[in-house]
Amino acid sequence: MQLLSNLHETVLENGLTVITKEIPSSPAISNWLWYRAGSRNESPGITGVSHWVEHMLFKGTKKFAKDKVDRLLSKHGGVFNAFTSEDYTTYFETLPSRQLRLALEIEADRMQNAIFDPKEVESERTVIISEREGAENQPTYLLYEEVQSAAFRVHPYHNPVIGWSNDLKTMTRDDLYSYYKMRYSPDNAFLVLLGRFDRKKVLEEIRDLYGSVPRSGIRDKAVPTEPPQYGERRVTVRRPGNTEYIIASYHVPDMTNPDVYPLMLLDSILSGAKAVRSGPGFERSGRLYKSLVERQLAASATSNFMESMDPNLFTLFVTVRNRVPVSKVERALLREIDKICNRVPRPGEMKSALAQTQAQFAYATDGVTNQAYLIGAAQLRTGYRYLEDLQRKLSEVSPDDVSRVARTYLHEDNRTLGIFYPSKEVSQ
Amino acid sequence: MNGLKGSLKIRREETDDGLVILVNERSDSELIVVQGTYPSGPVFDPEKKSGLSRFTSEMMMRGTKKRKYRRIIDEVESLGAGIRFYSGDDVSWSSARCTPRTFDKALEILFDCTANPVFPEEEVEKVRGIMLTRIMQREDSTAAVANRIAREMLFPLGNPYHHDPGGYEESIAGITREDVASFHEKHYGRNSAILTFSGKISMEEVLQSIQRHTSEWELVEPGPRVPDISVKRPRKSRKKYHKMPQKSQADIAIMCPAPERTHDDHYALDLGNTILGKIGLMGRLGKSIREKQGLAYYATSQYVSRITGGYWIAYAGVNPANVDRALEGIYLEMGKITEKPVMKREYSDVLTNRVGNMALRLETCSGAAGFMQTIERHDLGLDFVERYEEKIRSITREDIQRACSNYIRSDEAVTAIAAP
Repeated sequence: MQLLSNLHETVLENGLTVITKEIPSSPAISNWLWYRAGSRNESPGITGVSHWVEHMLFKGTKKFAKDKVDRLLSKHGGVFNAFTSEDYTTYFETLPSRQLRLALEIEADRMQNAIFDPKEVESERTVIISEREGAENQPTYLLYEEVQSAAFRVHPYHNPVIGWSNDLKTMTRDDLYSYYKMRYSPDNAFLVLLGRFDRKKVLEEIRDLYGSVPRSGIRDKAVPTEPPQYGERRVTVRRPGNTEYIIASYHVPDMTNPDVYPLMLLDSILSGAKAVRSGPGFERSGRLYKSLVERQLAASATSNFMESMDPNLFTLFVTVRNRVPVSKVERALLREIDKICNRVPRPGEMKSALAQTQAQFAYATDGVTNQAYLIGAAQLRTGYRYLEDLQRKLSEVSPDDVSRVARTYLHEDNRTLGIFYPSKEVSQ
Repeated sequence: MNGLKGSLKIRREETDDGLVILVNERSDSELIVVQGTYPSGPVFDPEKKSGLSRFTSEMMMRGTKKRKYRRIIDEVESLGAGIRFYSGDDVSWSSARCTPRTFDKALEILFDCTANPVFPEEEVEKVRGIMLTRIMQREDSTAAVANRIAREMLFPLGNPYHHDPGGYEESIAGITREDVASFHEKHYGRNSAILTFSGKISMEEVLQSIQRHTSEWELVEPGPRVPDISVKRPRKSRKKYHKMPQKSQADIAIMCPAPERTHDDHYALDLGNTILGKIGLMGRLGKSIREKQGLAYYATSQYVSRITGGYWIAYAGVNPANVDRALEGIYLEMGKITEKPVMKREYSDVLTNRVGNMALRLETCSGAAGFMQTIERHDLGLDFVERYEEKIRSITREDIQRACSNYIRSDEAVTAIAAP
């Protein structure tokens, strides 16, 4: 399997894990630095701090003044950015291979030396509030946020990654800086580097740049466990709009539970394989598309098994077709879930799901950026070696297993169901 | 100089009846990306049938003489291959992603859909419903509404670029099966198609597959690559507000006419636009509107060059209270880039940016297949990538200023604001 060939893992004395893959035929490198710093690590009052810190790392260090990082990376045509999720914050640069050193220098420097100028913190406050307002413009965002926060009452997955508005208004520079100092350290990070380079030389450079950065000795408190759900929770969102949406989310176990493999196949059968998220979507051969879109009840219908560090949600999302009653669509959606609980998938469905996953491993190799992301995301959750066994483990799942996990997790008492109803105010 | 040498090796063939094929073989790849274009984009939509091109694209896989819709999807997706048809501005696209093992079958189905669609009536109704729902979703997005209004203002009624490619409720409601069938018959001929392939595949293998699977693909009456379009420059600036109650954020779109891809000003304007709205974190606009003033999460610009009738657009998403300040800031930056040559440092950065960016774009099979389409559609020459660096290095700072002065003009711009 090309995606996982030639991977090497090295752990520096200060705890930084470095995963490299030489691809001599590529003209580029892709450098990704991952921190275990996501919304699951946040506490009430500072929700959104991980994401805000991410923004602040583009605001300058002593060595690389504000704008210099953007300028240096851009002048070589580089693609670079950062993003924050529930489980992590990651920074990446894809550059012509000659510029590898620049990417390494920037990330090593801002691991410790970001300034967090109070003026910049204030300026960024309005930018982040604007980002949140942009998201609030989208009915689907509002509905996801509502369902997520209803499904999780105790676990920090309750909080949106961008943070609650009130926290964004009140968080201080010190809140941000303390979080940064606590979580941005080599023993709370790992680096994934792919492309054209000489591994031995690169490791020397990495040791040179990161070796002196001290461990923080971070020891996370246990993240609160979400208690079992004992009955359906329903939420509604009413805002001006034109379209109705339905989300049904069910609690599922974390990636160490063997049930994740039948859950992945269940997801594939409902709306196409996504175990390696690359290449084309296969949702049109899925059961949800056939039963909802082709029957003219919905404009789109998908499922998603969320891979994450802690137990998360298996989510079904439907865009209700114009002029179709939402209650009718909800009934059809739940009927489809009942079906897979009570009748095992056909052999052809199982075969397709495996063929789609196999093809996605090939599509994943199209470019260094995509490969580096996939390897990094797997490393964060379970270790990248999990991908080596993925296809075998999926192929060992039986049709009975798929129906069993559907019955175990996709039942009413474990469900949070949300509906977006457009209110009647009309645009002018 | 020339860090791009050898980064895109292309073989080109043209069959006797006019089918153009470009192949970029990559022996170390595990996949194959196929792209096809046809001169049948929304620019060809009849005036009262806005959305017909997109409707036709949506219908292409919904049944052929040999296969029903369900069989097409099941056959393709059970292989782990993906086939899509969609439509841009000037052209419609088909694309396939597959592996060497599934290539021949995927291509057979792709050509079956391209050559033999039957457009069943019941599928027309399904697509109509999906498209109507998408229109409702579009009209609920401040960004999409601002963009649509700006486009409608810049390209007046009667201009083929006036209408939204997704159509409107009334136009989609009026499209019939016959409209779709005749649109397909007129535009999707083998002599009008450009096919590009990148990945683990040779020209010989491509030609064999094409020979096996395209015997039923008919020719069309040769026509223009785009309709005859003359875009009159606006005589004065105009502004339109569209109220969208209870939205949290306002979106701004500012649009000016810009030259076509083959125009002499193309490269200079591309460099100017990169400096203004792209390089770094959204160029000068991002620096001023987001970084310095903290007014917006995004403030950026784009130069869309087409076969004809291109445009330049700046857009920003801002808090409703900051709309006027953001507009003022964007107009100010539009003015500045026309008043004096860009700084030497910006100039040298943008040249290396474009070269590096091109190298990264060509690193993937998807990027290469897409870029070969650009090369062929605009007749840029197979050695274009090799000449690219030299070409852009011949553009001076004064050229950039002159091109920006010609096109990025706040006194001629149309501005649309969708806001609560």
